[in-house]
Amino acid sequence: MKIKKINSFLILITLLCMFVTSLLTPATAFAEVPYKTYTHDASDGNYNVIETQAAYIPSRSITKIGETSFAWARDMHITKDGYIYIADTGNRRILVSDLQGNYITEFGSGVLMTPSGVFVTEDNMVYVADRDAKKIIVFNNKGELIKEYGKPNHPLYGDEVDFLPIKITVNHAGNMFVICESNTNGIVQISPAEGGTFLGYYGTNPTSISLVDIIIRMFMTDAQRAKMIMNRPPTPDNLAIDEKGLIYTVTRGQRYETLRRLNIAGKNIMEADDYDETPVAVTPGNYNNVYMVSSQGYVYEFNNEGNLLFVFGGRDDGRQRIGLSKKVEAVGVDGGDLIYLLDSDMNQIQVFEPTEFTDLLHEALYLYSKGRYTESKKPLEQILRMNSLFGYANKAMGLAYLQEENYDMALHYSKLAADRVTYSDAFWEKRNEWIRDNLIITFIMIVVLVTILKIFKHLHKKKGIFNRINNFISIIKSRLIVTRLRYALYFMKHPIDGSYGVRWEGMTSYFSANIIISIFIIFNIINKYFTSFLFKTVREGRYNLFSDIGSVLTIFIVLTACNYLVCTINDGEGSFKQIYCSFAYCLTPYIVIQPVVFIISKVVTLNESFLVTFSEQLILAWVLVLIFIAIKEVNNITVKETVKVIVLTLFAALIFALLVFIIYVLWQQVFDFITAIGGEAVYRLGF
Amino acid sequence: MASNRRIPIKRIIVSSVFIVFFAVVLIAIASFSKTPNGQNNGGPHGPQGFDNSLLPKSNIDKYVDKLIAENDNYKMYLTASNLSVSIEDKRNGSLIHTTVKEDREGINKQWVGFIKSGIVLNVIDGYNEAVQADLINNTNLIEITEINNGFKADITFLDYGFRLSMNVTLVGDEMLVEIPDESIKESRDKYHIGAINVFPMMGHSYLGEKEGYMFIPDGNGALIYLNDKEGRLTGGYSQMVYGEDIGFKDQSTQSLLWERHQTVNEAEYVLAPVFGMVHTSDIGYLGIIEGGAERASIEAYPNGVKIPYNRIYPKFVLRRTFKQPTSNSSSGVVDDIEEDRIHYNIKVRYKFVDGNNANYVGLALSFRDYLIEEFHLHKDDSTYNTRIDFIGTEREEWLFSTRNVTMTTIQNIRDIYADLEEEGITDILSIYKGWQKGGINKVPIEKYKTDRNIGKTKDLTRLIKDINESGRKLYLYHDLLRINPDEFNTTFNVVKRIDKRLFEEPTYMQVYEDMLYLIPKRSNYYFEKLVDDYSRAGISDLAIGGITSSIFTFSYSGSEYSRGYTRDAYESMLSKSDDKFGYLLEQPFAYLWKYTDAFLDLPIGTSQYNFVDEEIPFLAISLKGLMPLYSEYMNFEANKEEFFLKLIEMGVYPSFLITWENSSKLIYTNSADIYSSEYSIYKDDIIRYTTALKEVNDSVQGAYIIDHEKLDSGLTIVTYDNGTKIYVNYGNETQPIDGYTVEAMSYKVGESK
Repeated sequence: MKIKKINSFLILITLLCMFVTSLLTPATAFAEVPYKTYTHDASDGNYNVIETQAAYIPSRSITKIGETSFAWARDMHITKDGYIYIADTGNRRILVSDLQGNYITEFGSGVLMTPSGVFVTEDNMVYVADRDAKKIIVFNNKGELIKEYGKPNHPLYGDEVDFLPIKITVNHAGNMFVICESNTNGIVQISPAEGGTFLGYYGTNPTSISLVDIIIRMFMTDAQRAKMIMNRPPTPDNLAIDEKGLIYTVTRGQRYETLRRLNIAGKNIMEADDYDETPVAVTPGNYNNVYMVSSQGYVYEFNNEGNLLFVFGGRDDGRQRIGLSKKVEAVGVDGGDLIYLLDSDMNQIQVFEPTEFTDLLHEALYLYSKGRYTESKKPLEQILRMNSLFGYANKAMGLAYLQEENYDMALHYSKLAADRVTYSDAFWEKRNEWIRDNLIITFIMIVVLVTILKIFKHLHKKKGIFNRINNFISIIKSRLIVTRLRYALYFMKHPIDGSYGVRWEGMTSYFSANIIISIFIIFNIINKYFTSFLFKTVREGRYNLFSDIGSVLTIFIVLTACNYLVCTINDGEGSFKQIYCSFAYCLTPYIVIQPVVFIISKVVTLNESFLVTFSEQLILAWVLVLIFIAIKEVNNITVKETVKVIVLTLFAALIFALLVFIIYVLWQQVFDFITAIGGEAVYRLGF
Repeated sequence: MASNRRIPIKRIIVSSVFIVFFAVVLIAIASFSKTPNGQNNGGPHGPQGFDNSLLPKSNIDKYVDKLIAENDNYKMYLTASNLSVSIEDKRNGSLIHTTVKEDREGINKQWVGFIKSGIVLNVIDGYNEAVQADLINNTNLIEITEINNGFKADITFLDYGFRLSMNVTLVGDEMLVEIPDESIKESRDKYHIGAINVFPMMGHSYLGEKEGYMFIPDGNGALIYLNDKEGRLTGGYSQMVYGEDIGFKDQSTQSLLWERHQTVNEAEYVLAPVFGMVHTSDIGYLGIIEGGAERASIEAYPNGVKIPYNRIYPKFVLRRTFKQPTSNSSSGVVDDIEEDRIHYNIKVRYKFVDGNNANYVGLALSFRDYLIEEFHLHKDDSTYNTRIDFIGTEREEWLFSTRNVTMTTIQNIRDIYADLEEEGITDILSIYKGWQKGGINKVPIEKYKTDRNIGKTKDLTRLIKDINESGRKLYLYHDLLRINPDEFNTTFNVVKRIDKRLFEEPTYMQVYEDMLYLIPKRSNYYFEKLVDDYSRAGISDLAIGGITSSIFTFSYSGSEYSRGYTRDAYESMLSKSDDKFGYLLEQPFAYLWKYTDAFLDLPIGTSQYNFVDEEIPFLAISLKGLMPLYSEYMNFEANKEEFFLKLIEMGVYPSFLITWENSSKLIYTNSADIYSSEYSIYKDDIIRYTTALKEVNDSVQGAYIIDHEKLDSGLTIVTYDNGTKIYVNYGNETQPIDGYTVEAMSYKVGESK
């Protein structure tokens, strides 16, 4: 414990020193950086990507190690004591330099064939993954060959599987984690015991299979299925290890989970805010943070929880600007938070230097990770002064205030950061306070209200003081349209009787049905955009009302029409009007219950969120039951027929959608053709 | 049966004789029919088949390194066969050659032609642009006429049927090169002149043989050293003067982050048509493009890019090819070429600097003299000001439409002014953006009417009057270029590219996704309407953006308009009411400098090209004292301390973008990139910067910079003509100098001794 304390104290001291020196050290080039830097404004899925100050600026590039240049270097490792080990793949050797690019040593010539992965342990053993030599080769830091590991001789490894190591990392125990080309089983884990013992495959990626794939497969013959590309999980493309021995992997070719942090069991324990489809390398930072780079040259920095702190950089595309990349292969971070990007196309290592802004952020990250929330508030405040929308800073501020039991501020910041968990916790505390303070007053008010009501009722009975109002109400109630609307309540509770009324007694009209649909749409919109922050599913500040209304109407009309058509050929007796009206009336539970849910949503926290979800499910179930009964009763058919009608209706709707799609595509072609002729005319005649 | 049948040998002989005869006849006919056009056979790539006796007589043999002009300081020599001009400085004997004299191995024929010719044309053969016409590989006819102080060369490229004349004169310390438009002739349908490279090797050097640098007008100014690059570089600088031409912009080829974000900052535009070459302490020149700048690009390539020579030159584009889409999908595209070449007189002025002036400061001072003489700029920088710009209102999405987001009201501005005055800060200049009805993105502004959320129009008029009375200025901002297609009908009067497709400028934001450009005539229409409104309201200060930093080729209702047309239209628009109004122009191009009261958004750095070796404050040295210079907004700088020192070094005044409300209110608007702007956050910075910078600038107010020196220790010394010296220390150690000590990341104002 004591050692730990001293350690963290030392880290803090070095950190402060770094912070001070970084303020003093000027960048060699001025900060009109060729790329923009982005971050997120929120930590949940509904974030907005926002621009921010340059987080890192390109400071210099290492094109040569002393007088030696490197070619097609595929990997690089930066050690704690400040050395860069470069897998100089093109020249079949390992190059060692200091952080300035001064030549230290080189080795491996004559032994190495295609060194494409390099890792250096804390005791300065250099592990090289050599693909064409099909070996892991271990050197000491003087360049003497210590050991070699070939293909594991183990039945579980697989006899037909070749051993083509391309990337390697080694944990404290000396166990090697090797990524092999064309080995889809996962990361090969080898222990150094007995000249290399195969421990098994590690951290296999989950297979991704979509619903569409499953459906397509259902209709395929065996031969076709065999022809299809094997649905093997993609293997990671690169990996890194942090101080705690947790392995980070990056995998290309997927949309999600391309960056993973694996626990000892090989399970992913980090969910990042954002992923890149072509990540090539990953490295842990100095503050439990992690850096990931894509081959396009984008550098991502995440915190411990996978919140995106920064993304910056980009592709050169012939622009020839410092800091843009052509083909990134590896990334490294030194003790001063400088980022090193190895670019095999430009044959250089580009060095990026953190700005004042990033130093503040790292200070906050450090304090925060040590649980010193209150202290972390100071740098966080400065960050927010420089960028009031910085998602991570707002989130951390929210948590800091929650720790300090300042719930108002916690609510403010966690809402800015869309941090629902913190918000919910703060809200819970806030609500408790309110209840504590207002319980008695509320109770008294209820008693007073009840008494007043009682008194009025009594007076009314005796003197009829509300007669005029009652008359007015009954006049309104007697209006036809009002009766018809009130019938919805009856329909909701007595669907069988209700359907009879719809069919035979003319209890509904197009007008009343349309009113109900309109109310449904309005409630739907209100619920979507104005529900409590905790339950809102759409992104703040985005409105798509036309499509909201359009989709409800389209679905409603298409389903009604299809149902009508299907019913008519299935001896259904209902007219279009009757089906239309009964369907509209089936929406009544939503109209009646949803407002209550809406109000409840404003006062519940995530702990009681089942209240909201349960009510919503209840509404859905109720509506579905009503629809079923309505179809059955209005058309006067049996239960079996009803099921058939429903299935057919859905099928008809599907066909209809397909038809619209085909017409759309055809029309698109015609439109393209016309514009092409127009384009030709413009070109030939030169308008 | 058939296989056994034998063909008589006689018959075989007869038919072969017949075949041979027939072939001979065919060849004869072919060769006869060719003979009358024999001259065309030479082809573009060689003189073979060309009969020299058919050419008119040329007088080039008389001119081989012949002295052709001379004055007190310089001599000019001419070798006519390849139009090689050499300038000799009589004081120290140093030379500048316009072509490579020596022969070197390993350079291919086309490049030899390039480096040994005084003029090189890019030829468009059909739609192929990769053809070169030079004076070595192509047959040509050169006729020299000696004129006062120089010569006139009439050049005919016989292979392609081009003619042009070039006048070169030596006047004082300047060499003037002109190619009059009417002298340029194209006589064959197949070949067009794409571009003219004027003296492409002027002042060149081989690998690292000379000490010195090339000066490129990127950002504030940048240098490429003449040292040996060891083949590391694959490209060089090639930028159109006055920015890229959106009329030719291909909008499809960009790699975006998450397919949505344009992550690369655009390269800085070339604000002034200048370039330079310096052989340190020996000789150097500043090239100024006087004619045709709007269609010229500045090309600078360090050694190792194709050939081992450092070279910088202007390239005048007469015609461009482009892709004409014929359908909406990307497949339908045909090549096309500009119908007519763009007409303008090419004119380049080379101002020589020598001896101790042969450095970038010499170039910048020479440019300042030029600005004073030719642009009629004069000393006009009497007071220090901090620029504080305000944003009025923005719009965010709301239900079916958009709703207002108020950031800074008229009353807020009054409060901010009063608050700062209490702190003793009165040196303020302000621009009010987004004051108009509908917010900052409701452009163009049609009349003088405020958004009701910031206050009434008459309140704004009163505010401006009050501020003017206290000796300060508030400018109303106008983007005269853009039109918002979601707020206005944009069927007519908007810019279409050369391929007749609508030009759309993506905003990468969610409320308004694209902006369109107004044609100059329409900009003028709106501007004149406003001018009337303002005259009536008694407002005389306008800040103008958009048109000040963009000129373009466009097509409109069947006609094509050149960049020159756009430039002239904008200039006449501003000059018409120049006497009535004071303008603040946003990052103006050089041709507008005489109309602006101050330079807004002066770039402090450069685009950070990988071939640039040093960044220099070229524009700052030239312009300091001629007009107040204002930086880009401080808000978005990550390294504020360093930025502050840069401002001190360059004599540039700081700018802030301020809102009364917190910037988080802008998150759902098109101004979401403004992530920090709240007044209460920046108040302390404003006070600190103003106090410090005012003190520095008071000591140099109205003075010119006469020297700028960077020491290896990280110390920069700027000397003004009133004797003040400013020391800026970017290093991390305290530096003693001239009896002062300058602390790390700090500055000192001293007297020169």
